[in-house]
Amino acid sequence: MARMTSRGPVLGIAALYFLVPVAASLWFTIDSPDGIGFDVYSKGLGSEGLTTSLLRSVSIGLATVALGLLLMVPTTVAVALRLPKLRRIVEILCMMPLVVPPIALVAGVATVLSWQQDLATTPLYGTFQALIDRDFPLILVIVYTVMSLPFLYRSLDAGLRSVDLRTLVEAARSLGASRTQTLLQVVAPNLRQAVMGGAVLSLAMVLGEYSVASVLGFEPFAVWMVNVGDSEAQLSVAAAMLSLLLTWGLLLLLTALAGGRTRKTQSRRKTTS
Amino acid sequence: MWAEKLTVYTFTGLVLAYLYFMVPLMVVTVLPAFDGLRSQWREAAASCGATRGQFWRHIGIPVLTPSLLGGAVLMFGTAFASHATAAVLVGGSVQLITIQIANALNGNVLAGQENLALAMSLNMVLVALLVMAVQIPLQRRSARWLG
Repeated sequence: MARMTSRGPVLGIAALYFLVPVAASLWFTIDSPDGIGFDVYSKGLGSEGLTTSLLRSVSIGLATVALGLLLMVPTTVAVALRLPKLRRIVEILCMMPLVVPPIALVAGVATVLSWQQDLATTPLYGTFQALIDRDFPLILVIVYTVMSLPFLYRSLDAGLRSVDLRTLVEAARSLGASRTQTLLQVVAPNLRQAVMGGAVLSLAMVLGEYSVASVLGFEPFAVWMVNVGDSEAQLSVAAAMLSLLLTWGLLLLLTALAGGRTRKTQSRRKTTS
Repeated sequence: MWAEKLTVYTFTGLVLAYLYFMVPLMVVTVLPAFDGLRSQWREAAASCGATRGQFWRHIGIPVLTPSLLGGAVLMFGTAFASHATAAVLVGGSVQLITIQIANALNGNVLAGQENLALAMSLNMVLVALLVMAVQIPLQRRSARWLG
């Protein structure tokens, strides 16, 4: 009973703490000298800076997810099936981005990028130019892929642990499935939820990332949002509201996916017990 | 008026803002440990005559301590490493190592300080390793009760 009575106030204070700033931001965007107006949303959100930077962020995010999955799905499957001894090493490698703070990572990246001047006469100069292309900075895709490794690894590792992949593969092979058939029709469907979970988390990370992009001088959505605040504060906050909605949407999607997974494992547990 | 003094562009404001991403982090780290508290323990304690307070003091809190400490260490590491919030909220008015690194890289204060940025980054990595070295054993210790 005592728990019931203390739960309300605690939840109330937490709700106040989390909701008051959001409500204040919302009020700030619609409060104008002539009363309440939604001008910022109707005009500003269609502005060129917002759409280009948002599209840039989304394309960087999708490229990051694609590159990360291309790297991690074969790695984790290979480790689970063939190279269990390497598991520990892969895990440590993938957790490295948690040890190296993004700002320290970007210090190293900036140093590497500064080699460009010394390479001016070599063909590598063009490679560097492509890396720092303003509209689609490949370097951000690479750095974000490294930063998303922990998410992808954790999600894929949990997914692989929840199924007995080795037995499934052996069963498929003994039933006459070819190696590619096994990978595509047995392994892939079992990993779908883990892949989606890792991808959504990585995407949310990229869409909100500020430090790396701003230090390297690129302008994806988060950086644009901060920069535009200097001249158009209302638009900046309105964009923040938009990004909040976007991230919430992504995370809701993730929860829905995760919910599907727990239901499945629960029902599986019930049938086995 | 107290409202005139209330500003978030200070150290206090930074702490208040950091709490925003610390609370979810702590919840995610500590919730599994709370799930691991079995109702049988409470019942056993109650049937031995323990009050609710005694249960928490002698059983609940000791079992949860490793994961609470682990969560605290993890939060310290995250707060130490974060840059974006501080950069946007307080800019240069609160001197954090992450902001110093960004300034050195951008040449905001002095040009040609890339080496300094790298040195400070290495310091940050050392602190992060220290955090990991404390956090991983704590995590193992707390996992003992979750089986």
